[in-house]
Amino acid sequence: MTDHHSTRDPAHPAGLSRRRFLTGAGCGIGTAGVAAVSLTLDPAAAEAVELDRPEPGYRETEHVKRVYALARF
Amino acid sequence: MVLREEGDVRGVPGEERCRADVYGLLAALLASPPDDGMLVSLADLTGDETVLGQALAALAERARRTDAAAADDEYHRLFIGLTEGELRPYASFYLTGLLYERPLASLRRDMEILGIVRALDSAEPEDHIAALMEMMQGLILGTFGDPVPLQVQKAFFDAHVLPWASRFFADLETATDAALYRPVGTIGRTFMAIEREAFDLLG
Repeated sequence: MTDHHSTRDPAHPAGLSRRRFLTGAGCGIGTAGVAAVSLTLDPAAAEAVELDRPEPGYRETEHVKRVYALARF
Repeated sequence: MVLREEGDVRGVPGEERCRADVYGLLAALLASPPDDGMLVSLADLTGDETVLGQALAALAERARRTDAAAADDEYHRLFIGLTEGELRPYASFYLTGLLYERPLASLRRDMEILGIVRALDSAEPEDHIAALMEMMQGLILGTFGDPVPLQVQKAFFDAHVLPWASRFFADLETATDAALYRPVGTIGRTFMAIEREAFDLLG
């Protein structure tokens, strides 16, 4: 069993090349504001999105609402 | 559902978090058509010079030129239809030509192993593309427990997503009825290729 922590360690060669590849392919931190339109089943994550923004507008409300709308799967 | 500490959310590294966000975007748009609020948010997307970035920018552009009613019409023509939609976004259909086949049974076994429970009011079989995108997102973020190791994510991806999702997204890109959903197809196809290559880097 591979130790998954090793691949998340930026100093680990596999983890580093994976991180570089993902970032280079357009998937880095805060890519293109995708988080604002990405929906999650996780209420904690949805909460975190709200906490990031001092003036929660309807976009965040929509986000939280969709968390539950999607739960039908 | 057990709420996790905020630190756990932050504990998912940025580029892995980004993967979850892209899966979440695909899941949202494939599960149901965007309403006006979602379209406003989509219109705010920006893209860098990468293929993925360009596809996100194209989606933003299309979102600015449509409304919820048009998006709803398009979604139904593509995926629902009067008798059937132009596309059938299920693993079983893409892999066997029929619904409710062995790929669905295999997925259900793995869902049980991973502790992924289906909502009781679901009308769709679990091998719907939106459900699979949502499961990948959940595995990354730890929605179904702790975030699962990348090797487990890869095993799930290889078994249930890789065999057919790229073909589905390519079909969506070229579907006659696709306008808003055309760049969604490009985002999906591009992202599946990124995922495949990034998983290969794990060795």
